[in-house]
Amino acid sequence: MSSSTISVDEVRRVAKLARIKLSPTEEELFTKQLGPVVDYFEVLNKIDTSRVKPSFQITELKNIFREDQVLKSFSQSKAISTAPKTSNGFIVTKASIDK
Amino acid sequence: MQITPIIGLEVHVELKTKSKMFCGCDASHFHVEPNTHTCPVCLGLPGALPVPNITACEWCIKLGLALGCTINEETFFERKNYFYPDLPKGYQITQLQKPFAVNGKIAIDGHDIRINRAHLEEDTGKSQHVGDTTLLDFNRSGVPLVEIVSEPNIVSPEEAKKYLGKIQQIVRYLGISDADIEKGSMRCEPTVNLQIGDSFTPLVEIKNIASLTGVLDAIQYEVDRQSKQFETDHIEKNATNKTTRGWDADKSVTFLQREKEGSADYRYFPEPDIPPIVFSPDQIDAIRATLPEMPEAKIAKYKALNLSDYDANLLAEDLTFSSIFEKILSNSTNSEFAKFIANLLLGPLKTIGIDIGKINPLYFKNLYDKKADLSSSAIKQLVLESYQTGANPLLLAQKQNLFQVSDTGAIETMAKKVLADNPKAVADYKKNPQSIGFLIGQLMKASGGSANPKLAKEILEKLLK
Amino acid sequence: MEIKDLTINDIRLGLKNKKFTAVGITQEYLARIKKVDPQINAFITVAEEQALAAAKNLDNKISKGEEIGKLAGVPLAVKDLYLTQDIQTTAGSQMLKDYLPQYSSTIYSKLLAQDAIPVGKTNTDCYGFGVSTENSGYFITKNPWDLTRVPGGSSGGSAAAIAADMAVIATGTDTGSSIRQPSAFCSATGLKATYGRNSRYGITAMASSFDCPGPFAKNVFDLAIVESVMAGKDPQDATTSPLPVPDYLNEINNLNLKGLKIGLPKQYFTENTQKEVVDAVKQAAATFAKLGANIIEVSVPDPNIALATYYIIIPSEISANMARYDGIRFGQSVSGTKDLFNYYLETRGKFMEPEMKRRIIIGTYVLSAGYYDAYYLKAAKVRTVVKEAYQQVLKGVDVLFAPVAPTTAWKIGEKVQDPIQMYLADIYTISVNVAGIPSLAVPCGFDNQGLPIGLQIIGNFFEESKLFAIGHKFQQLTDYHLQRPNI
Repeated sequence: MSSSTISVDEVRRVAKLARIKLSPTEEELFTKQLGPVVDYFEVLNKIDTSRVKPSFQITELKNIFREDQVLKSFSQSKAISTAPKTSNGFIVTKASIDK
Repeated sequence: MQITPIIGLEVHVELKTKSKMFCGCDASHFHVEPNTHTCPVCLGLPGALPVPNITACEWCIKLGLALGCTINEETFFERKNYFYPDLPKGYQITQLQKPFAVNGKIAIDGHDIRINRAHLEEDTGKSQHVGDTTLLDFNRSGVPLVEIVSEPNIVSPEEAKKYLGKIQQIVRYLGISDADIEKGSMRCEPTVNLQIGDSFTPLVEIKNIASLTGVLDAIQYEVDRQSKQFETDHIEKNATNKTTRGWDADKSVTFLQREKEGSADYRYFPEPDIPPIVFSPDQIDAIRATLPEMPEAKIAKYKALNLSDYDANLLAEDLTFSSIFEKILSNSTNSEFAKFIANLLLGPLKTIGIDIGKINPLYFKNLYDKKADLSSSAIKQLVLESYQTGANPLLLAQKQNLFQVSDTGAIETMAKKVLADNPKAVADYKKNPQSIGFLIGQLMKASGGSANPKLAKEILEKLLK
Repeated sequence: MEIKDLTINDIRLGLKNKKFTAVGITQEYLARIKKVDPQINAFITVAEEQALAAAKNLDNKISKGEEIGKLAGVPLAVKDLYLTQDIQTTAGSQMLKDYLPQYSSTIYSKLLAQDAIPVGKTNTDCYGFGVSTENSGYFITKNPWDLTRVPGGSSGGSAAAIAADMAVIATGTDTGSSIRQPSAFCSATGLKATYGRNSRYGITAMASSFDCPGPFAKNVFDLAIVESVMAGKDPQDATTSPLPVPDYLNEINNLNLKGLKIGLPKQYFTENTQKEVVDAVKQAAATFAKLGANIIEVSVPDPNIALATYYIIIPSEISANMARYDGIRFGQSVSGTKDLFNYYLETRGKFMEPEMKRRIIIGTYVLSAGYYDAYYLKAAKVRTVVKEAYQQVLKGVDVLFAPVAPTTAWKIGEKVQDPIQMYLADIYTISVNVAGIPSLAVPCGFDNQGLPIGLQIIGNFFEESKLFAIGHKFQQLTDYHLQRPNI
């Protein structure tokens, strides 16, 4: 994690992974902005964490479950009410590229 | 050159909990109206949060134990990120670093297939491709799945099939899944490559297999295809040339699937919406105590009763069946009796879907005690009738006059009359003793079928001397 | 007394005693919104119809002599991240334009069950991504104290609505500062509760392990009433605490000032902080010192450490939480793309705001293959260090006093080009989110341009009662919270 400049290719790779189309202006802007943000993270290397357990969450809760009970679901019309495209109770989207 | 297949299986088993993995929607989805078992959680609506189903967690541990796994005391869920329309949140809640169960094994004909892990996750919705659109049904979204990952130490398509059959048997024994491949409640993705001499062919993952024979056929096809391919191109396995192939059951071929773009990087990280799960050794032992006796143990037990290998396996195949067998046996160690029951269960009763509640062990014992006085066809008939009507088979036998007459005097009287009435047949017998069959038939008819056929023959022969 | 000066209990009692009707109050507030909001732009949606219906319903209840709720007739402004089944919910993003949710957030339902009147949905940086409302996909909310300045954010619309008397109470969410900083900038009172005290169910997720829904009000007493309604275990949010909710109002006057230990973390009073802000916060501590409290300088982890931790973990969680915005089951989408892959790229590229994209890209980057250990895992470990350090410090003192933000409200547009400057605005609030502990923001003064300054009172896990008692005492001793902008 030495002083990093992040390349435009790196930004493009990540944007593709996140399924976001960036305009050339955005690509340029984010390439410029991402480097300093990542550099800022280096401050963490000052902290010795060799014996520290990670906090993936901050509560000390564990074993929060629900019983295996069936609760009421949405009606079909409610379930699909916000979908832009529907057909016979299905939500419709583009076909995928692979079979 | 020596060719050895290297096969690993990823098996998904859908748990038959009442509700889904992270919400209270009904988990059934086979032949259900689309999008009728959905809610904010399994539709991935903004603001919805998952809460894990305790039964699904316990069942995953139970399965892990049945597979001889070590259970991780502390586990947590993680997010696996990828985009697909049937994955509503854009990530699947699954387990990576700390699955519920690790390091198990299943023995197939004395060969241990090692199991890397069994972890709990959620199913996706169903997509159906019609022209250039996809129809989405989220009823299946969020149904609990256990993924069982084997090490790649399966050596033949037949072994893969047996391994799968074994998993199917175990989950059915545990009562946690129907494990029906045709209905999609069990799915299997083999990864196959070959060792040819000192070389290894590139890894191929096979998807879309929808039947048990499909598993066998697809792997066999891949073994053949890869060995031919290697002969021509000599391309060896490396870190980047793993491919995914689909199985076309109609044409019985695998075909190369186009890679989903950029899907290789799943960016796993711990699921912040669900606190970690900790099962103490005591809790794990309590789950262990609920495990039924597993098929291997049952087969050994049945063989000790002198049942044939074949019968023992058949009886242990299905938990309902073996439970009925053991219920009737009622701890008896009489191997004659055991064989008697096995013959009935694997014979006349096998074809009907029997209900253990309607089985009365006493009736079987009664029949067994009187078996000398009943013909084998009468016993079969009585067992069925008794099962269907709930009546005592011995009473049925009496009513229908099925008891065989073993009273020599009574048979002799009837035999004398038969001989007197059939002079021609008697004459025939003198010329050809093989023709006694006709006379036996007449005697049986005269007795209304109740004569013991063996005795009838003996008496006739005596009188004809 | 004017209607707009009424507190929760004034309204409730007035309704019970038939001094006024719920419809009457609601109409008055709706009229004020109509008059004032065009200058401020606090609301994305004014829920006139729903508000009047709720008020009518409440008046019926009263006329039938039925019991009325704790928030009866109280005009409520709801941050637009809260799903409201009857009112469009945009999360401040074009992605959710015209989205009418199928269900309501737990907190919204709880507030309505106590007869609060929802007057509208307030502006926010899209999904809460920001500290100024400049990242809203709709418009920028103006600070009622100076219309050329930002109201803070992300809950800027809610804070501005309170400051400009367009609502009596409001909801917000605080992931890094988003309730406390707009409270400070607009001179409202706001609570970032202990993580897990208030349910997140039905509120669009920003960073799941940080998001803390919470209330705004005009004073601590009202705030305690609202929080007592909001707080508690939600079976639909596995991260909510099962601990019982204390009776905040019963404990609000239980404060022994003699020997109360107030810590001033030296890392929060540096030359990077505007001098008037430092002075106002120290003055607040001095107010308590006069009454017998001990003021102790303490040391906490470098706030830059917490900020770096935050800006690794939150984009990671955001990148996953934003994946559901694909326009298939809800939200806006494009049509006519050549395939599914391009459908995703174009829909998300077109309807996501720039800050949303920026954060998703940072998060996707730090989680992508090979970086997990260096960034996410490291940050999760540092999070433990920060949390333990705060717990340690809070063993030695009752509470910490600190500035909410290093400066007062800045000019609209001043920082939009520099994300790091924008992120640094959270430097004094973020440690609290990293640690998961509660913090109350109360007005504590004005700078020489007349812009409000906010004080943070930070406590240990689930010590909201103590924060309310101290904040309430402070408001009995001062009148900053009673000042109103000239609008």
